[in-house]
Amino acid sequence: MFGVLLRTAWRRHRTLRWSLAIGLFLMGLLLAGTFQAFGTGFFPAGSLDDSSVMGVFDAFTGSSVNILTPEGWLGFGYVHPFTLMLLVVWIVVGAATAIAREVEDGTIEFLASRPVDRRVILGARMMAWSLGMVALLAATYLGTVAGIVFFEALVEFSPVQALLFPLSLVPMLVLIGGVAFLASTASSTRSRVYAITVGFTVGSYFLNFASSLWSPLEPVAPVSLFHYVSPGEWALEGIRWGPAIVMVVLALILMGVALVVVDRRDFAA
Amino acid sequence: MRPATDRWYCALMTSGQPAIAVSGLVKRFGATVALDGIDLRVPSGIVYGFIGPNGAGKTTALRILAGLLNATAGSARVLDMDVHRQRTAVQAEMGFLPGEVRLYEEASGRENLRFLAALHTRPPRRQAELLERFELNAKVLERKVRTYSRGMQQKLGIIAAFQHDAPLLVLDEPTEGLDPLMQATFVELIEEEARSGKTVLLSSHALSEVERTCVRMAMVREGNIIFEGTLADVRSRALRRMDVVFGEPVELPWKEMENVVDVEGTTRHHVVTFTGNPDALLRLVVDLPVEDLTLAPASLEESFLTYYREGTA
Repeated sequence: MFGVLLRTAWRRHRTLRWSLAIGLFLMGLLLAGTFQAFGTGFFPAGSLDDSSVMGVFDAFTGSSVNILTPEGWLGFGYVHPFTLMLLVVWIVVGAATAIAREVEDGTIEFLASRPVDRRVILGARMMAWSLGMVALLAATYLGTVAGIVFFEALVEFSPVQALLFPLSLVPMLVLIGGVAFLASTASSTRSRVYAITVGFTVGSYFLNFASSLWSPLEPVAPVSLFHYVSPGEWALEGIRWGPAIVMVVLALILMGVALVVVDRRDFAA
Repeated sequence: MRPATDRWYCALMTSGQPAIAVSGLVKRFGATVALDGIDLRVPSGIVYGFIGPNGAGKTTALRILAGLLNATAGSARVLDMDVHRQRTAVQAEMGFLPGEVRLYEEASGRENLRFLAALHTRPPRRQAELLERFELNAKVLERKVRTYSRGMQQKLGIIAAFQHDAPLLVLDEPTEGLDPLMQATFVELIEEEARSGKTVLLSSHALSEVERTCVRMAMVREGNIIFEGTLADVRSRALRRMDVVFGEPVELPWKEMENVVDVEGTTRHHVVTFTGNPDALLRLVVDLPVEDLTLAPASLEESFLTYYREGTA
């Protein structure tokens, strides 16, 4: 039954998945292309000497890696609001469909009255969501590699090293997914899942951004999950295991709680 | 070959244990009490009616039995299994039809049936036969469910519930949205299920449907069961009317009789309202010059209304 549920969940959003994958592929492609076009000469000499200007870039990229370096540029692209928006769309739609939409549409009554463990239903949907996320990150990665090859830019990156950029997003995306799935299992409407997940993501992003620019907020920066996301630093220094493990463990705890909630909650249209 | 679970069900039937046993079942939604400690025993192998007006608690009770809702207190056992602790085992022996059939609108009728069938442990061996009976042909099944009328969705829901040939059927307002022809087909289907020894728990506010299909019934009002028994028991409590026209003025001690509720009319035309058996009333007039006598049959609808007016059995 897991296989049936997985196949159905996988097919359900194929149009959306394709659209997002194309968008992310193009984003990856553009990253390499724009670095080639603009490069370090894009900004007039001396214009970036001011530390406050660099501070703004740091706030946007979420890291202290210089945006004018290849690592900094690609890292910026991977946490660019457009990239994040496309990925968060997948997170919220995939998670909201898992349970909340079934309750909202009333289809849960047939589904949950079948002799299938509710945790198997949710587990299959989490699996389909994860596979979709892998596909989207792969599309971004392939776009980046294609850009490197096509534009002959950023040639210092081997395909394996370029893999660190999408990999650096995985812990954060899984953690946002954990929040979204927990919201989905506890909600009866999609809009509530959207509100909680987008609110959590945007709030976290804003907190990290503001704490980078305004020193009184610095002490609260570690509360934001974007504080731990720095694709540029991963590319320069390798995987930052500590924060990654903490975020993945937190995500697993949230998903575990979601599995408990879905097993115990009431279902009625 | 019939599956082992069917042999097990036959053993349960002969053991005299009820198919459904509910005890002190309470369900609260915040401050709202949907079920206020109901007790219910549905014997195996019969069609049992669960009737009451909207908001009485019927759907809540059926959702608890189907494993969709958790009871706040009390216990619910189905086919000798605890609904809460053995949820999927209970569901494997049950065909459930929700009160409001909602299917995946972006999928076709066939895809919906295929998906729901794949999630049941019993194969959908009756699917083809039921599709024919409910006149859902291949062309209709290829259409997306969002193009279906309310009645067509209901038919698809009925097929999804019945296709696995489960020994227990829990049906919430099953004829909602069906046209009279399809209602008749559904009643025939229920009669067949009853003959084959299955247990059917059917909720309805269509009294004629209950009258045609159910052997026993429970009436629920404001989360409480106010009556449980056979249809004859219900009718025996109904208010009935007897009109007697005599050839000459007659005085009779109607009001002294136990089951007489009211007497109206003149000395020649007596209109007597009573409950239960009319035998004693007829004995009173048998030797008198009766010109005409009309005894209206007790309808389930009137009995139902009587119970609701009284509020308790």
